[in-house]
Amino acid sequence: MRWNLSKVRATACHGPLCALVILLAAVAGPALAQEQGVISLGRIGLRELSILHPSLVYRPIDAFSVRPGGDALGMGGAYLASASGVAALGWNVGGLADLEHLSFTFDGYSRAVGGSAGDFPDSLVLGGRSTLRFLSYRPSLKGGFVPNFIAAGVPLWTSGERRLVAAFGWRRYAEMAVPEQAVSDLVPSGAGATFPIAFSIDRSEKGGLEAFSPAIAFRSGRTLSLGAVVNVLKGGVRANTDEEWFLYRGTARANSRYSGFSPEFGGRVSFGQSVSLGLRLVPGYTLKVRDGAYSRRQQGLTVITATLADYDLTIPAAFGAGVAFRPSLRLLIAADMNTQSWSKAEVKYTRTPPDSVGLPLADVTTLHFGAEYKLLRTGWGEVPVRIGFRTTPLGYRDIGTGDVRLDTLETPQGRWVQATSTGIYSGKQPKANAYSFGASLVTPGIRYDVGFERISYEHSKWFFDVPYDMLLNPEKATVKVKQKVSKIRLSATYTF
Amino acid sequence: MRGRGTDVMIGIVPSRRAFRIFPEARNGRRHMIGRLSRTLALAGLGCLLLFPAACSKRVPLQSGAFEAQQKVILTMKDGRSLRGRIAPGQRVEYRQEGSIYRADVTAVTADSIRLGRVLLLDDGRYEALGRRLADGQVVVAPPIPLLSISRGEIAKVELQMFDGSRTVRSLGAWVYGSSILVMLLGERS
Repeated sequence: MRWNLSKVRATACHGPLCALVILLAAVAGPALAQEQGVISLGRIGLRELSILHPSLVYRPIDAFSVRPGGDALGMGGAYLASASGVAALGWNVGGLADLEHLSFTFDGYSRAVGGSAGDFPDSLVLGGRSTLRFLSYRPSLKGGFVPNFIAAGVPLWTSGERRLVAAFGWRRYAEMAVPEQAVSDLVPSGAGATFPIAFSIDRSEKGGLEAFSPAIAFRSGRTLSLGAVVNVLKGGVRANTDEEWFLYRGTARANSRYSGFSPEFGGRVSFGQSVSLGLRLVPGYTLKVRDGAYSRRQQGLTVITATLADYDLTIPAAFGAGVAFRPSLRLLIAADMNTQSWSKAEVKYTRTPPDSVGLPLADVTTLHFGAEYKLLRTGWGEVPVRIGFRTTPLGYRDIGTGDVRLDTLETPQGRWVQATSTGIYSGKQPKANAYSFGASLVTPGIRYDVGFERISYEHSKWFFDVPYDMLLNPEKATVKVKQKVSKIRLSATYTF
Repeated sequence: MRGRGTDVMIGIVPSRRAFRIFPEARNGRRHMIGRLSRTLALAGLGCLLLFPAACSKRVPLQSGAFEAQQKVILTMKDGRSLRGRIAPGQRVEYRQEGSIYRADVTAVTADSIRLGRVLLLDDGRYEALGRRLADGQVVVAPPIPLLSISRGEIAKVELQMFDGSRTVRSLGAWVYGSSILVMLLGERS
């Protein structure tokens, strides 16, 4: 079968399937090259991808949620000054020096989500004749269990209070996968018996940015601990989107591979038994994004393929500082501040830049507060309980209606492009607060930590995740999505 | 009939020619090997889990009296220890100054416990080395063919029991850790 672009465009109003092809064809514009049943867009950059599949571009790089420890989550992330043992690898590597014996830590979290949108369009018109009325539109992140952290540490040398500790961890370094879904129920408008029709998008994503992290920490006495970790970054994300509207069933696939190298430093200063200060520094580093590909199939046939241009993402330095105060043996109070200027992240294409828009990342400065109280102290162990609070601005700008425009210069039908070529995104940074609590079971040799966090925020999304679609989103509509995310994190530590 | 015969040949004698004719058979064998290796890996993982997870606890016996079928740990006043069932013919573990011996109980009397066939398992090289460095001359783990322990030397008697609670906690930690590992590996495949 041979595709002819003019014929493809001419069949635009014959159904949703063709409408989608038209959209994609319009996006691609003159760059289209045609083969047997395949429209190849060639090498595209973030600008084209933000039109083809906006959710793959409009997302944060979350380097905080992946930090291990149910105890840390229960404290609202106020953990830099009190991080201790193998889990300190993900917080303040200086705390690793507290380790007295060979120890293993395992960590993962489960995410439960719910989302709602109240201002979605009320109807769509099919071919200028019949009308369908939207009964509901429920966009949401997807839940599931995320394996997060495995690490082991062992003291190499001990002399009194001085100690040298080594550790190795395999951990999720940043959350890059943002699986989402949207389901909508529609009914034909007018009189008579009706039956609902469902439109749905279901995007599952696998993978993330992982780090293999050898670390070393030194404790010079009761006062000072210092540590360093070398993160060898690997990983990738595979996104698979299933779409269903009417008889149309399609699949979009996207994948990218990551690699890089990031050192990290941590230190802790303790003033007696009651006050500790913790510092964490991650110098800026470069993340290589390679071998990206994008394809869209319908009814089993490939209709669109594209290669995502390789690029280096220059990630700015991150800094964190925290204080922990222990007024009594049972009570611990802590506060942290973390900051990273994500807006300074730069995209540098390895070959001729297809565009210069960059990523819609935004600066993140978070405040964390937490308290721990040892509820039970018995001969067999102890049970501390925790509460916490943190501010959680998401590290990106959401959809702004000014982000895209119809460019009619090249073709009469027009072509949807990003409104600016300089990478200035017009959306807002989603902001929220998170509340958390948790508890631990600490017994000789074995320790379990569980933490629970609840966060809710509001952000803008394109209706059905397309900036323009002559069937699904003819009005270039955005919806405000209220997102609620509950997270339960469980970590287990085994000490020999 | 020909196809049927060929199928048998592929199943039993997977020759290269057969794989050339039916390349999917090669994949089938790979899948079989994959399933087998996964099963073996899971079995190995299970053994690894059980090893560190099975825990015991020590329950002090205030009276100092113990029975022949009870597994006990006797600690002497000078730090030596004896672990096992103290009855004639039973194999026990004897520890002295960092060295670990395996021995057979030859006789148990009202005054003493006699051990025979005392064989060195581990010479506790680090402790011995430390002493040698400190004292200048130490004979590392001398052989002790026969040994008699006086009951009067026993300072503490502890009953060695299975610690169900700790075993469950430990097993939970390792099962959880293994699950995380398997899931992380699964994400990368």
